Amino acid sequence: MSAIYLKELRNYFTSMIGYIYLAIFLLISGFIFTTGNLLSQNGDIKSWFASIFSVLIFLVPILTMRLFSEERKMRTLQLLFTMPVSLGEIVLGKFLATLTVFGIGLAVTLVYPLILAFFGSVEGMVVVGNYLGMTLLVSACIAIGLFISALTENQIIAAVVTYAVLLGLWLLDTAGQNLIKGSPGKIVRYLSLNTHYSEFTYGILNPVDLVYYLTLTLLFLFFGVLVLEGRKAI
Amino acid sequence: MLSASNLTKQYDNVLSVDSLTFTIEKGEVVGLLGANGAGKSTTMNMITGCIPPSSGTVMVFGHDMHWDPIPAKRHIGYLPEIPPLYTDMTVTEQLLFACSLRSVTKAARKSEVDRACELVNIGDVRKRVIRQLSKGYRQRVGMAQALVGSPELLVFDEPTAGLDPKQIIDIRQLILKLKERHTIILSSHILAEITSVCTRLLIMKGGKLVADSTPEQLGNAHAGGNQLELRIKGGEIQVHPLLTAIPGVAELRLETSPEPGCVDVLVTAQQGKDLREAIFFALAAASCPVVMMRPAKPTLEEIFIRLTA
Repeated sequence: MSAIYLKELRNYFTSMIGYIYLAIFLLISGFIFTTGNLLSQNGDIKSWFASIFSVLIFLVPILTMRLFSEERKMRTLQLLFTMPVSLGEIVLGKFLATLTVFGIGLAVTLVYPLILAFFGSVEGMVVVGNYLGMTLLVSACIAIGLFISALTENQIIAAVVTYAVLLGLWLLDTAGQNLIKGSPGKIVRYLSLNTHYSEFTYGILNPVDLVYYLTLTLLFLFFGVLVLEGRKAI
Repeated sequence: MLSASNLTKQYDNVLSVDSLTFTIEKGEVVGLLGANGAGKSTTMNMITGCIPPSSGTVMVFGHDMHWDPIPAKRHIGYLPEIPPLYTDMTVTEQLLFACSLRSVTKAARKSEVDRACELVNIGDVRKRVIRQLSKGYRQRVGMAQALVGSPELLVFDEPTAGLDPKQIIDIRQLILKLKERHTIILSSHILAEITSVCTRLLIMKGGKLVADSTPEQLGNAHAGGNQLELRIKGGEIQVHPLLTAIPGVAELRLETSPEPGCVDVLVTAQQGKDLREAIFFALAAASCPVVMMRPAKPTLEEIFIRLTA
């Protein structure tokens, strides 16, 4: 698995995708922090986290679109299928490499709460909760993007469909609140990415939310393995 | 080393491979022959674990390729028809990646890459990006990729496809060198390529195995029939009318013999006719000694066409 992980990680930075992602992410996140916190003299880091997710559901598909689509197009999946590595290792290696690239960008943003702490006070648990929630949230998004990438040879289709699915999962919260009434509405809200993120933003580590994101991540990684297994049979 | 048992692959209603059963022993160089679409590549993809069979089993060193693929794949180096290469990597990066997938220790990777590059003679392009390489070089990089980690069993699918004549000779010599330490299965539809290196032939037609033997055994099995090879002391002008006059002769082919004063003749008899005595007496009456008479051995090409037509 480490071979796949290192190869994918290296590929993000030799193909420029990693640099482009980090540049866009840090540019936008810096802009939001500057305008939303520094210039507005707002010491609440939660507002930055709330805004940044809408940027991430657009950027994560850029990271995930090539994970398997490119391999299928270049026919290099055949190499991986005939080497002594399991499908699970292939999927996990790619997933962790993508998460690492995201993690690099997120690590740079640690400077923002430090700046706020310098000028005012920042609740430690709120910061921890938000970063943990963000990581879990994006892990699930990456797993979904990886699964969709395995379904198609076309990277653009993979990116667009991933974006649509992530947006849909985010908006289930609004749909469940305003469009679907009663118990079905509650169920729909419960499935939303947003619903389970909210408590993290207050520094509350709810095991239910933890289980939700981990389950979503593992489920779509498993689906990714199933898709690869199906591709072998064709 | 490898055994395939009732290996079958079905795509929708088409049987691409139909109940293939064979065993490969250590040290063999086996040629998988067949016309285009006979099922060679599908068979190779199944025995290397690239695609699962619809039914049947593949055992590699005692490991079932379907249920226990990882240890099975450790023993196999595979070069598919189109080498799977990352075009944005350099040759060295590609081979180092293959080493890491094969769990070659970090300390040994450089020497392993050096060895593979030297074997296939790609040392001069090691630092080049694969995208910039010609088809021939990519084929050799693919071969080097199959060799890293020194797997015992090498499977090459059309290893000389797209190569120029000199490169083809180089690959043949490489295979002859590799067979000293590896068991090799290679596929082709070019007979000369196979017969120059292989000790055993598996011939496929329509997904089925139609022959499994050495080239010599194949020749002997298909010898005889209704053709005779003759060497006659005499001239063509003298011999031709004598043989044409024999009832039951369907076809004659005469050519100058390497033996002075003789002519070599290939006589094809009509179905079911044994012309040996008639030929003997006809030539004896004309004082034309028969210095050699034997059933004709068809060439491997003729056997191949007969089996796969």
